[in-house]
Amino acid sequence: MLSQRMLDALWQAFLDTLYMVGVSAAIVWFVGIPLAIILVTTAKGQIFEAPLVNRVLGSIVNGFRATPFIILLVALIPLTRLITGTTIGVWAAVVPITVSATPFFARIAEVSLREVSSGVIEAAQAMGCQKRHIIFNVLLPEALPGIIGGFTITLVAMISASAMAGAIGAGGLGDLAIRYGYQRYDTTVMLAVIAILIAIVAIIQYAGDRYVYLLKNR
Amino acid sequence: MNIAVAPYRKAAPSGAADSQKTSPTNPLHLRLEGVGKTYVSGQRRVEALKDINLDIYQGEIFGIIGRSGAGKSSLIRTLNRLEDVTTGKVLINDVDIQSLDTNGLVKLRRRIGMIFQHFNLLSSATVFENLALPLKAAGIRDKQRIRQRAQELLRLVGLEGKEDVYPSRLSGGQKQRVGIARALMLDPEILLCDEATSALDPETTQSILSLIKEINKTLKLTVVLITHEMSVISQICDRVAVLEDGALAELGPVWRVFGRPEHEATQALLAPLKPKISDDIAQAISATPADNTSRAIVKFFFDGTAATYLPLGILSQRLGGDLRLLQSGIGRLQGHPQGELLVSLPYQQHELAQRLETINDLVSTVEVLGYAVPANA
Repeated sequence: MLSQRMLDALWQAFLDTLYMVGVSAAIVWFVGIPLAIILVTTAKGQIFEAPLVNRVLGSIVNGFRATPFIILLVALIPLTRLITGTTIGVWAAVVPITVSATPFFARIAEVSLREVSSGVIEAAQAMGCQKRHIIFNVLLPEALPGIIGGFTITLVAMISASAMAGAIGAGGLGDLAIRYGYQRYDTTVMLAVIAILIAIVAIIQYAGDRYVYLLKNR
Repeated sequence: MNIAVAPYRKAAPSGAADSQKTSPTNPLHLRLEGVGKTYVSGQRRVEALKDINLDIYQGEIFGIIGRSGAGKSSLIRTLNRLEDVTTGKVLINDVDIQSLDTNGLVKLRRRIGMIFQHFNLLSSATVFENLALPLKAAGIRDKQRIRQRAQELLRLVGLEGKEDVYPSRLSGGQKQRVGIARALMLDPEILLCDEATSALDPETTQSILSLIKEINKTLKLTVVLITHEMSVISQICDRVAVLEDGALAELGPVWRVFGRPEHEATQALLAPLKPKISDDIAQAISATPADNTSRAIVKFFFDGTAATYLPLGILSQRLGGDLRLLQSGIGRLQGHPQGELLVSLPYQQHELAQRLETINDLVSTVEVLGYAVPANA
């Protein structure tokens, strides 16, 4: 069985993971959605049509999405040091997790936003809505179920990324699993970490699905 | 066999119902001058509209009909600049709407309500929130006022108490009623209907059409609607324009276009509404009379130019009295009775053509379809 010391360590790691993912998630939400809106509205035929902006931004997003997380983790070390002043610990992990998850979420949100029927946008234009009204009163509310669904997926991906960030000393559940479970052959800790991760993912997925269901079945 | 197709030449009658409603005595509301629209995609250029000239008067219900791809959607979208014209001008109350800046355009659109084939309601918002959107967009923040206006219009469209329902809980007809209420929230002067009944079943179509007509009367709105169904035009429109291949093929009061369609496109659109000669009569007809007792089968066509009634007694008298009605398809549009009568009369060699000549002033066209034995006709 797990010792008291181990339980404390697990608890601390759990909190660290929540912390890492929570802070990153907040940033991803508030950066990803505007990014998605820009990607959608600057596309051809949309309300802020600007092909050049669209192409440049799209390429940057694709570039980050193409880079594997484990490489991003290392490549971003200078940036992480610049922003957080350190390259280890919870805060240091927030930077790569955010940088990798934002483009991912932006693309998912973009798809949901793009699926808002052009007829509804046209109706809004016809009734004299200005562009900001269209974004805040039409695009975002109509795409919300899809965006929430996409955010759920993003959160799960971020939890898995946070575990990987443990490899470079980020702390959290992944770090614990590697140090005790892998390096010290402590299978119990490993299994405990996996159980906790499964529980977190299940809860997030359930909450996300439930919310989307409620939004869609009003 | 086809005798005497007499072109109708009588002067228009006085006091027909349509002439007060659509005559140019009503002030001009919308004017299209040489409107053209060309879509360019890569190397391909598609001319969706070609040199359209139209005047639409205040308070009329103006229908635009055409087959799919004729350009009617593009045309109605130029009226609130959801589409910009490539050439020509759209004038609303004498203002060239192309000259408006973004702000002016937004203000113009608030004076023009629009309803759509697929309703285009926000699925994420309740009926009330849907109705509130145009007011919010117009900068009206007063909750009380918005709620009051929404209730007023829901009463008008017959949906009291549905404020807090989401559109997914409504039927198609109810959704369109919400669409109409939303279009009227800012008290517009023009209502554009983009195939507003094309997604509805016949019964709901009836109720939506009568609602549009009622709104047109009570709110004194100018209504411009596009449709591909002639029945919609015949039920509520005062005047109709027929579009074919991006160009204006025909324009006039509905009864006139229905009574005497001149363009091939109009005739094609009207074809489904034309009565078919029933099978038993069609089979009984032969090209030549069997003997002197045979009866001639004759089709009279009334195009509606004639009068407010059809003088059947006089008609029968002039043709010798022995007139049998086989089939009738007479309707009444804007006070003009029009349609076809299929009758039989005694065949008398050499006399038939002469007799039919005598009713030229009563009937628009006369066509002898053939002959049948008296037992059959």
